[in-house]
Amino acid sequence: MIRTTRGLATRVIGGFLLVLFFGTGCTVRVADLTLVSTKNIDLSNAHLDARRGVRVTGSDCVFWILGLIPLGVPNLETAIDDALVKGGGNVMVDQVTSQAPTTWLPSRSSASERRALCCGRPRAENSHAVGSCRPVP
Amino acid sequence: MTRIVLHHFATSLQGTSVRLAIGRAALVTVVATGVFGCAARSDLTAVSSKNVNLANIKIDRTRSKGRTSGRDCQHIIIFIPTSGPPTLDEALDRALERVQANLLLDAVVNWHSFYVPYIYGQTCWAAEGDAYDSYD
Repeated sequence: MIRTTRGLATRVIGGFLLVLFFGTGCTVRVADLTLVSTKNIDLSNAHLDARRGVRVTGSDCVFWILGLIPLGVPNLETAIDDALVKGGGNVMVDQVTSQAPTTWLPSRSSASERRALCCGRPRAENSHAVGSCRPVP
Repeated sequence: MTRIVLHHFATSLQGTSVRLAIGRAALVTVVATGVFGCAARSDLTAVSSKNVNLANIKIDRTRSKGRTSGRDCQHIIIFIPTSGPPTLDEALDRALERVQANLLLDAVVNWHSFYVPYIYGQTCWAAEGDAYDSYD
């Protein structure tokens, strides 16, 4: 009886440690940018009003099988594009770039996820210039 | 008697070589499965980590300060990192400070990382672009 209880306790602790090991991740803040864009913009005479933008997050995620075999590399450009599309703008201001490699357990095999996150305020176009790639003069 | 001793010696030698081979194979497997390398490139039309007057950006394309670049790297010797994690901020700051500018246009941002277990590894952010000073 005592042996069974000990075995169960060992399994529970082992399982807990496994979840801890495979369920961990850390986010590294790699850049705070005042301005960033992947779109064609004319900066010869631009006037950006950060208050008019909306705060959005874009990401590019790639899975690593067993945390070792990468299926690709996340790209900052794609993450920024994702954020700009969500926000409907062409410039991000007060932007934060983070890398968040996390290891987690899906249903059968373990995988690691690397993510390049971009949080910022994409410059929203004025209502007459949606789709235009020029900042509001 | 001599024959028996020689036989024992030969057997032990064989055992040692097998063990050595297994050890080498295990070492090669560990190193091979742990070898890691990745690189990513991002093309940005404009990027800055410096204070820029967003309300009034004026860039004169004829007044470029030239192509500049900056890097921030972390080296891992054996398994000991020589510094903290590298950042894009630092790479950009170095590129901009080199030419006293505050904005990069047509910028390329590269990130690469590799590690050969228990030998050497490197992670780097690199930024390159045409430097400009936005003026009011």
